[in-house]
Amino acid sequence: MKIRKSGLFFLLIPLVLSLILLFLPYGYSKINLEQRLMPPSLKHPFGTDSLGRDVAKRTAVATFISLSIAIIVVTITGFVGTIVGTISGYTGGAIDEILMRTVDLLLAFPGFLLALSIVALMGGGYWNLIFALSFSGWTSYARLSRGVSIKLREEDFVKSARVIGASHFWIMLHHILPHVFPLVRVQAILSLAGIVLAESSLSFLGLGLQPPIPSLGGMIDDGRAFIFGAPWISFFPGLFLFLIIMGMLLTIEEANSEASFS
Amino acid sequence: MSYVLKRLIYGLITLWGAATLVFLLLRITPADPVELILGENAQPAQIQELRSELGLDRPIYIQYITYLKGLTRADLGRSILSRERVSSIILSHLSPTIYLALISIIFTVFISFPLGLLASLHRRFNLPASFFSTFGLAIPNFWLGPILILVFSVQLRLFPVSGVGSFEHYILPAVTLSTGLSAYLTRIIKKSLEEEKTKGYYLALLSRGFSKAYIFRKHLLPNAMIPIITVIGLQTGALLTGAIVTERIFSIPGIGSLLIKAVTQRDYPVVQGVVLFISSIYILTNLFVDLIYSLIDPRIRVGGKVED
Repeated sequence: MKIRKSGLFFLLIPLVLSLILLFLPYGYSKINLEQRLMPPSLKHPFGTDSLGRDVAKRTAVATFISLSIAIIVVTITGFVGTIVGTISGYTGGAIDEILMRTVDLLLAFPGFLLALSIVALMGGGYWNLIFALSFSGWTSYARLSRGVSIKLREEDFVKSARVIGASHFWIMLHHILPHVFPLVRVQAILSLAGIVLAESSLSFLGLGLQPPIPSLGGMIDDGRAFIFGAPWISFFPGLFLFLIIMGMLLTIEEANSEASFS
Repeated sequence: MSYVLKRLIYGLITLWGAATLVFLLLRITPADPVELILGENAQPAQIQELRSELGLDRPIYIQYITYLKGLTRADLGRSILSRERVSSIILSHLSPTIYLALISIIFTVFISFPLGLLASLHRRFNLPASFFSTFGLAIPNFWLGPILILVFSVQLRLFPVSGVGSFEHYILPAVTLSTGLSAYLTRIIKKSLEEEKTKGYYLALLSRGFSKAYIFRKHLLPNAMIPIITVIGLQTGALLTGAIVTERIFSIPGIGSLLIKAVTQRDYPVVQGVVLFISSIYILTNLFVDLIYSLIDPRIRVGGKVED
């Protein structure tokens, strides 16, 4: 897959900056009340928040936490969705019916609301957040891979494999999945931006990552009370979030047009 | 069976499925709601009392049947904290959210249609349109909102900072909420119009000498409207969930603020009611969109499904 360089560039700005800012000699949750609400300076490039914590260090850590959540969620949902969809499409019949009705049910909800309900009931935190964001995310992969599998099921090379005695498992693994995978990969890149946004929205609402772990959304929320006197608390995490999502969207467009053959 | 009837029955089944999922979600959580509500120091008698009051001491299938029966009468139970009926709490928080949603939809349509149409008609509008749609999609509304407040309310003093009361109160929230939506819709409008242009009938009509304006009005636009309307329907989900975030930024006492408040207070009947309410609206809107569909496109009414 070709990746658009301009998008990658936007994505690299926050990543490289975060990597550099990680070297700042402050703890990301180190409270220093003497240094609270300091404007950006050489010592604190993005200023400090209401507890005197260094905004730059927190932003850098939050960027990587955010990306790690997105990557884990994409991996889980892509894996589960592809397996479910491939089995569903290849076997057909009652299994297909049950799995697809489950997918329909989950898609009847706005995905964000479902994730919100789950963290609301289970509590926030890193792994709960990943679970909540994965809960309905796999459905798009399932639909995608099911569609491909149904088409391939009737192909001659699959039938011939069956005739020479290949097991269903072997066929799915060696003849179906290689065709499903390129589409899944595109879908995975497509969904990254949405996951980053959903995660930071939940953290903004106070339901996602819990303090003292920094999150871009949570930092924007923290800064809202000081938006008049100390706008940097919200501004820099927001800017990083914006650049990450923009980078992902711009990288995707190329991927998207390549996937349009389906 | 007519298409409309079939679709209505399917919609009802989906609603029932959503209600079941919400019911199950509340039951499979590891935390015991009664203990969470009463705290660690609760007396066993107290726990027993609340449990029977919430009906949690009965077998799960009975709980499920009572729950569904209640839903048919729009009975969502009572709030644990205020003892009010959940349905009336939702109703009292409804109007700010409706205003916000309606104004945002109007903004979205007025931004994205001209921009999308222009971009598909003239090459020179391509860049501004795609710039806007990428920018609008990438900017998180909980970052845009505070920036708008800082610029327009604090620096320029054009709009109130937060709260509700007048039309002006809703302008910044609606701009915040509609930026992402209109960015997406602009992209869809442009894309679906351009896709129609690649189809054979467009070239055929052109070669027969029809004017571009005529073809656009009579053929391109009606055909392109189908995906556009689907997207608008699907965007209600984004609109409703976006409203949750936007209401928090601008302290609007709507459904979204109610949901977040109920979550932090662990008022589970209210959480359940609001989640169910929002998802019902989402399901009903999509049902409505499908029905509109069949009005616009006779193929759906007659031949079942259009290939998607």
